[in-house]
Amino acid sequence: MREKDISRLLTDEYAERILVATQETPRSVQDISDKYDIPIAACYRKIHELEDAGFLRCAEIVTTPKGKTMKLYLSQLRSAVLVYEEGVFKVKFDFSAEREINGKWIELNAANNGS
Amino acid sequence: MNPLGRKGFERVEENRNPEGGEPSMSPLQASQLLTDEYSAKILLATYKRRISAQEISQRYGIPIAACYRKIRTLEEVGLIQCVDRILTQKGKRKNLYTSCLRNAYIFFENGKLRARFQLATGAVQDFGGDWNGLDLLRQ
Repeated sequence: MREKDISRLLTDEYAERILVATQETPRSVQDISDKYDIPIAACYRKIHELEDAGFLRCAEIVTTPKGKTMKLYLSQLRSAVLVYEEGVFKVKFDFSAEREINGKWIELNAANNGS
Repeated sequence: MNPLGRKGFERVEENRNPEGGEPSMSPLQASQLLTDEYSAKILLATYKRRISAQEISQRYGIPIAACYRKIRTLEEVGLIQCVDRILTQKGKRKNLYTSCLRNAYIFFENGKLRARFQLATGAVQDFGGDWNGLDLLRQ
């Protein structure tokens, strides 16, 4: 996934709610969908996108009383900054896990210019 | 239950229609203006330059209708402005736009999104300082 897609994902309405929901407590998809008013299918889709981009991690797998297994997700993103200065877009992420892009400014313009 | 209440979204619609005034946006909406692919391209295209919708559309590969629509949105929130209406060789009027946005900052921290826009006029617009939707989200 390219950086510009990552930064767009961050400002997606559902993705933002999911990241807020999972900031401190590991939560199940169903739980997030109910509490944060996200349609269940969209919730699954966004969570998978966020997981692929490394924003979410499955922290725990629990078994419900009915015997179904359920994944609990936890946000991996501590902070993100998007800056637009002098006609240049750049982003910086800070993940709780060790990652190469942690704290590094990434310029987006190269990816943004269609021409 | 609806923790976001969608109030922020309705408010913008209300504020947009009446005679002018700065529309209030949620930090999410403000940051979406920057991370939307077309809006970002338009902001780059109009940065310290005067350019028409047609040119932006061709140079940055934005479908013309979407280009006009995004330009309008950006114009409404005051991030770009029409600086000239020139006459083309065919006798058509063409609006030239330029970006009013100098710097923009978007922070996501502790589960809270905040945005700050600095305009060419020196004006600063902050979003998210008093957005109570997020407090509700953190229950």
